[in-house]
Amino acid sequence: MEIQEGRSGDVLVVTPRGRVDSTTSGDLEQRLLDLLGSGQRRLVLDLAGIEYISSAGLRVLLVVAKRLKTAQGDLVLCALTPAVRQVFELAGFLSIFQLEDSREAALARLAPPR
Amino acid sequence: MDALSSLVLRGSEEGLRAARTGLDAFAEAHGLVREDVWPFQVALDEVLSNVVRHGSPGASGPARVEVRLRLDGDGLEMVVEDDAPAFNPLQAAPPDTRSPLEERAPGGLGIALVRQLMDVMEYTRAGDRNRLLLRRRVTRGVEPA
Repeated sequence: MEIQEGRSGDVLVVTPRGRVDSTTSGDLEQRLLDLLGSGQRRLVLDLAGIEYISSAGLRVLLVVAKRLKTAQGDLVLCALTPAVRQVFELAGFLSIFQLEDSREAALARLAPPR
Repeated sequence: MDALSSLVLRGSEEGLRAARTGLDAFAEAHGLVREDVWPFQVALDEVLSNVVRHGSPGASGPARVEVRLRLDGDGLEMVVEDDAPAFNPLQAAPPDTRSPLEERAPGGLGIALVRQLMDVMEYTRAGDRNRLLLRRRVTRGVEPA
């Protein structure tokens, strides 16, 4: 799986591409946990390039979100494709994540208060 | 006319990859659109990764799995048969989809997803084999050549 990263202030935008399934979810988990391990606390996960996500991928998101919550970090997911949104809905994930339609909106949500 | 495809593979990581490739090829050959294919891609991952995890029928190594795909009038049907220990996904406990983040556990999510994504889900234990039939209506973009 291809995982792109870009920085905006102290927020890291992570953009995985392709399928998040039982074969690829390990790569994503490793990368995200490495970022957390290196002290990154504010993350945007841009899901625009995800074809589909299975429960293996949902598990990774759950693990990362819990860790970040414990560390008082912030995670915003954005640009969910229809396939990903439907799986989130069925799994009851829409209510436990901060979601935005676009990367810009996600970054705005994490912007420091003026 | 119905379109059919059958794949025999091992219940292993490698077998799962082969099944994925087979489903992709079938979908492409029959002009299925992405919205119709992804629920089956998710279902295939859920069902086969379960077989990979729990599937060794004994000392003989990974399970033997057959995946059959059939496209008829208005639906795609996927049948997965394996010789892994008996497992009826219809009797699996429903996952927790309502509690707050801190209390969420990922167990059972996969099967619940498959059940909700498919129009039909039937399980049969026949002899020493599990047989799972999944079916869902497709819009079907293009007619097969």
